[in-house]
Amino acid sequence: MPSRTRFRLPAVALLVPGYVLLFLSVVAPVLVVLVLALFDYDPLLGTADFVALDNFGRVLSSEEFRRALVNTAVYMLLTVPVTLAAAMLVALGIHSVSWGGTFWRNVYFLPVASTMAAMAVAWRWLFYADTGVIDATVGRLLGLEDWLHSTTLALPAVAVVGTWENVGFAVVMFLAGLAGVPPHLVEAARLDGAGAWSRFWHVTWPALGPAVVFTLIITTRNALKVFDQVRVMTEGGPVSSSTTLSYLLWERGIRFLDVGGGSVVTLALLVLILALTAIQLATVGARWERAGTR
Amino acid sequence: MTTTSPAVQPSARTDTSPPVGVSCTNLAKRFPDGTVALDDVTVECPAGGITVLLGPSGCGKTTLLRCVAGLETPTSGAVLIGGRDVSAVDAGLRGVAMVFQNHALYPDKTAEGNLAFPLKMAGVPKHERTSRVAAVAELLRIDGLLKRRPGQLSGGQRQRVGIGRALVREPDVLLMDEPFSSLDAELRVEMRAEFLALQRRLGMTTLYVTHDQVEALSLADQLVVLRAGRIEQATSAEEMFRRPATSFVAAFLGGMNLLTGTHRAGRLHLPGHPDGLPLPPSVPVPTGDVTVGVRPEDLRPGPGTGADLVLELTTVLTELLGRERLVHGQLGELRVKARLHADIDVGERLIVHASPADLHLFGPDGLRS
Repeated sequence: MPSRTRFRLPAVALLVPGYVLLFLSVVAPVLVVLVLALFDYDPLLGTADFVALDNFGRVLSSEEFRRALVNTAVYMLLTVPVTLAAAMLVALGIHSVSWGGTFWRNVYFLPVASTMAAMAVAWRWLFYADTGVIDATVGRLLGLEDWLHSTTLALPAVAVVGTWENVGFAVVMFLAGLAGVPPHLVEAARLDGAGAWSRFWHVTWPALGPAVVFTLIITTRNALKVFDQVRVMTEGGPVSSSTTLSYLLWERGIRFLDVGGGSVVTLALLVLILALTAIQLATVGARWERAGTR
Repeated sequence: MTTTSPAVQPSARTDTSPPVGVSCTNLAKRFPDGTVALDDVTVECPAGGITVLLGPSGCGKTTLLRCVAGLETPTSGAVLIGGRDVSAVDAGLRGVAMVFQNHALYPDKTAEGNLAFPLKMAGVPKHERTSRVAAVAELLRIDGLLKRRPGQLSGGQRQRVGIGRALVREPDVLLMDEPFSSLDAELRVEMRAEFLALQRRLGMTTLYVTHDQVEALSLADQLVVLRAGRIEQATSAEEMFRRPATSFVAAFLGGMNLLTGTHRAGRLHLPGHPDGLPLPPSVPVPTGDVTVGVRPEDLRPGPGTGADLVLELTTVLTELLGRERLVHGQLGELRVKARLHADIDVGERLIVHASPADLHLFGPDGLRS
């Protein structure tokens, strides 16, 4: 049919650049990693031996992978709930002040806008043993000292910085959500005798659904991918106590030139992120869907 | 401010105590940007009746309603409900309920959940909630829609739920903010009649905001016309239509023709009409600047008798309204509307007359004289 092809050609022409870019930047790297995972590739010697699934068996069963997986999970549990709760409180606070809202929004967004590696250097200084600000204040009060050289406190220290960064992002998301809460609904609830908590729970919270689900998914993904502050503040230590999956993949693939092993970790991380996002969408994501029909 | 202790009453009352009146004394509201929304408003809303607040947009009628609701804090003045000062009482504890223009139903709750919400907030036990929701749903004929969410209801059904939610806790005072203005014309008339019947049956004191004069006249026990934050006139609908206190009310309510000119020696000199209009000798028109008002439906075809006011119009436009025709005529620089029977042939020139009894006189300050 001539009329069909006439419409199809421009459509194809317009879509091709996008598809090419998508392929080059997303699909191709994943395929390359998939292939590399099947080879024992040495970039210095330039040799590549096909080893089938040996890399998978070697890395996935290793103690360091298990440890990185646990560390990443702990990091996620330490950061995500705290980020969401803190950001909600901050956003409600900023939303309720009659002036200065823009100032506070920008203040909280600063960590997001700045370079994490540079910020992590500053945080490393704050966490410096004994003379650092953290040890000199919180450390004296709670008896927790030298976080970055403690096998139990290094990961929490990294989590503090990750939370600090993500709160700014979540605050901006929640503020956008709060701006969408219909004011007449809040007024109706007031006249219906609802107190502050009931108004939040019955009006604000349902209206925030999409923002909360989106922020949950993004902060979870950020937590799983954490690298910068680990690299700068602890280098995965001490004794691998703060080695996360991203740090492990860097260590394997770049530092030890174990490209095959690094690729396996990369794939594992990708699968983990996809699986968690799918689970979140299937469970709490229903609220997001429903919000579309409001 | 009197004591606050008797003010804190449960907002859900199950008794059938007599309705209470609402009064506002010297109420003023100035917004932070300097806008004066209300300027020394004093009004009494009779218990058990419908008080309609009418006026053009920006006249302060909604602000007045919101001050009574407690959603807006007046800059000065007091709101009394049943004789007790509620100025410092929280909106949820004033015993008032409100129906919003855009219904303001909770989108995540079913119709049933919306109706039950005020009762839940008042701590009414579940079995009682269920029976009261069922009763109010039956009253408003929405009993078949209780499981639906607002998104699955039509505009009229949503507003029924909105009214139900306001009535379910049997408020002392019902506040309505242009509740039917978003409905189509036919449904609006139907809902209005239905609401009137409901109000007569339940007898709750009602404050009703509208900019629609037809709606105002059909509902009002007391009609309050506001203009630029001040009350122009407050009286019964019939009295206001019969004897508008100001030329603004006369024009707003029923679209009265206002002939503003100068009266000298029995003739009214109008802009663009240098000869002057002979005034009937029986009407005591004061000398000087004056406005003579006459409603379009009080203009009758023909020159009448010598005692009548006669207008010679040049026809500009005619609108057929069914059995009647609205004729827009030019008189000097003024536009005059006449509502005539549709069978009457309207030529290029139209002579109409009004009997002296149908003339309304206003001074240069707009007040009735």
